Amino acid sequence: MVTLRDLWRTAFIVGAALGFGLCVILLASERPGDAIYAFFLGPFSNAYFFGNLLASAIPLILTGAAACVSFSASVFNLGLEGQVYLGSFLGVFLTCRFGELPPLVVYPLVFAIVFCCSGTLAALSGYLKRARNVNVLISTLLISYITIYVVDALIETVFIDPTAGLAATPYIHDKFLFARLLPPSDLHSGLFLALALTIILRIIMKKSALGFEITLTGKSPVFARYAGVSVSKVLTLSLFISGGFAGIAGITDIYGIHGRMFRGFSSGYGWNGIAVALIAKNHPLWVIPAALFFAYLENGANVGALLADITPEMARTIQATIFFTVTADALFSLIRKNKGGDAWTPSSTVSSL
Amino acid sequence: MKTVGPYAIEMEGISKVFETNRTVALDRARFRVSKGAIHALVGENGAGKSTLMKILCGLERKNAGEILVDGIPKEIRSVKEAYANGIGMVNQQFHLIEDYTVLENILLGVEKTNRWGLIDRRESAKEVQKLIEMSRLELPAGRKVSELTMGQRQLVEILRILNRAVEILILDEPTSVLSPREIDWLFSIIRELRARGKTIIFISHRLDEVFELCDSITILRNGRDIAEGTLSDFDKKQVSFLMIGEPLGALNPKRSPKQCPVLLRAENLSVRDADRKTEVVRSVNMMLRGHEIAALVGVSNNGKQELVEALSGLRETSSGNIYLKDKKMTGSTPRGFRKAGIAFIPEDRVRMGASVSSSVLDNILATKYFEAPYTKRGWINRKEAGKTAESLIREYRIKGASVHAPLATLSGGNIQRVILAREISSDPSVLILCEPTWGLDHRSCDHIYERLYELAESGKAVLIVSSYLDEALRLANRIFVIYKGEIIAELENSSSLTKIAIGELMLGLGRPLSQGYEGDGSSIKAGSFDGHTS
Repeated sequence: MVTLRDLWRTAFIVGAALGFGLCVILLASERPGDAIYAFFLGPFSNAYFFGNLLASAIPLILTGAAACVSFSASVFNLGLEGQVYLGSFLGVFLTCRFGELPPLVVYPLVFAIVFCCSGTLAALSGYLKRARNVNVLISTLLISYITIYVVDALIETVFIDPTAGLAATPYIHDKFLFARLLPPSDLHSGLFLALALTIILRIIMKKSALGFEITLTGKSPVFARYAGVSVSKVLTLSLFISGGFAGIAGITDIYGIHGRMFRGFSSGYGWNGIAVALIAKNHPLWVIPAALFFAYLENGANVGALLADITPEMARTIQATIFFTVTADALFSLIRKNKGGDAWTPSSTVSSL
Repeated sequence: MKTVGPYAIEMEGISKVFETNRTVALDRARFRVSKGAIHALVGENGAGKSTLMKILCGLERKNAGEILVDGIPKEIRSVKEAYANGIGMVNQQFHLIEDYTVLENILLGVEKTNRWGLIDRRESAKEVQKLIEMSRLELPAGRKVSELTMGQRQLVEILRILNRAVEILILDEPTSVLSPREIDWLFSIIRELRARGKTIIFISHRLDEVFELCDSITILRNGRDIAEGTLSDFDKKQVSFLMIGEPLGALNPKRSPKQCPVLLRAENLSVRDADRKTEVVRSVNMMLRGHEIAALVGVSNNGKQELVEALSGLRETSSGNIYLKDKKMTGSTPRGFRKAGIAFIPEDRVRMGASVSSSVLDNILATKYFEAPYTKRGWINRKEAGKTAESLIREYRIKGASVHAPLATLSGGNIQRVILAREISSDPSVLILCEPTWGLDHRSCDHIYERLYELAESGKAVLIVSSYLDEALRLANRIFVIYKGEIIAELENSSSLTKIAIGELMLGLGRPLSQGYEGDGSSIKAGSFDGHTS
């Protein structure tokens, strides 16, 4: 439940994050006035920048939703990045394979397969937890790294476009690319897909028996088991859905912007998705504004680099500070839990880490 | 009837209104405790005891009134200020960190630091060791709290508060989860503390204990102090009358068990502990019939908990079988057990029996959501669930409950009722209930007893696990005694069965039981065990 207090806190965190950004700029820029203007208002200054802002929010909405599902069940899927990679690679591969078929046949097929494969990759950690009691946090992370390197290897060997100057797959056929909404910006119709999937996720979490089980398990696994919920099944399923969303995030970005997959194409979509879910307090609908905020910061940095003397390194520093501030929020709630005289507040989220 | 000064604590005209649900918790209440006394604070659930004590130790703010500590007016705005004034409270719910050792828990927050600001473990440990010695307890200071019994945890909690130089110690329902032997320990410690000049405030529903232990008493009703004085001026009847305002209804007479079908049967059931090393339950054979209430008693750490968890499908068994109405349940899931007709209310209500951060509705729905009419094709019908929850709230007179509010907003007694309502409403054929009246006042107890009688009356079997022998004797037709993981006695309840006899068996002191002994209605049989007693 999102309360007024939560809203205030979120506002404070957003403010603090922006404040840190401001400090970094003031310290490092020769012309802080221009830099601040470019960074903070640049993304809104014209349709091109604004379109790019919305476009970069699309994968973050999906990875944010992905993180939400697993966090709601109190399992920490830290392998979103790898799941994004696998989804993108498979998507490109399948789209090239089925290149002759019309997009309306290929889309559902590709999305279904990508969802299942990325989901299974995440669910593997759920299985390992059950069978061998492997910590989910660690196994998702390690499996994710393995996946990234394997996919990189595939891109560089068997599925490489020899004409490209970098390690990249061949382009998919133009007919598969999503329609651009605000040319010449990157904004594409995948936005609607992301919004629709987030709303569907919200409905599943709120109204379905599975959503009930996920929430209950997240709040108190001991109670859920006692009440008859198969906790390991629920954890595995939540990881599956989480991984599935991450995969969709990847392939949507390919269909919408890149048209092919190349090494390192995901600039931390998985990691930023985690931060987005943290700001959104695991509420699927709050993911949308949270992702927009994150995209805003990213684009502010880009515009700043373009129009003022904010270097990419500085932009990264600002992003990192913001990431820290947001993650510190988790610490914030921890302190509140320990301090308050509230005898009933369980520390289940902490202990199940 | 007056308590005598000088007072350690004087609270005058204390009022407290909760804005959120607009209830008056305290209405110009007065509360005074003489220095160096063991003072009882009694009252029904919701009489304002907890609120009054929370105000005293800085967890709640009063709306009006004055607090004097040793005759000096004080404002107590936080727990820290309460400690500074020498006031500390041991809560009903333990606030211990499971993964920390006894020592670390006691030291938490008051660690002695050396000159580099680092924790000086040795110096800190010395002080605690002194405390532990004073309490004359064999508390393993290096053990993790998660390995301790409820009783030991209670003692850790007390030591933790004492370690903060507390002069006035508030104990909220300290005996509710303790076995008789642990209660004796606790009482001797409390008396020792009194001898050392500490003042103790003892909150309890068990008048027997109050009369055994305390010097003076304050009785609260509906947020007001109804009476105070030295305990010798009162008798139990008077106190319970003052607490409730009306005499208690007579208890249902005991029913004689008929020859009814066996509903739950355990056959050579053994359970290993979490490390799968030692057997904590050893080839138990027991049977529960319809129309009966049975009790399982035993000192904590003797396999009581493990046995009932196995019987309700929550703990893996290492050998033997469980049958529910002749259906073999061994190896089934918790939900399988529930579907077959088991309902279970665990000792640890807050962690296992409920999710306090979930809504009242979700807590009720948790054991029902997967079936019609609550779920259709995977979608939950919240309207239907809401109706059920509302009707249970009315039926069980659960106060202050809005179905969508988190369970944590309810009082302890009402949380109990939510859990009870949920479990009974699933129409189980066997109900296993741990500590049925844990932390409840007389009237709520009677309410629960009535429910249990009703269940038995309608042909179900009830197994209660109680560390309160009076309760077991009052409710049960048969009493199982567990000792070192074995059922060492199965006793028919009759007037000749005494608490002392059961107590001795629980401690393994009873003589090896004679086979098929049939005396004056109290039959004792050894069952199929190899006469294991010491």
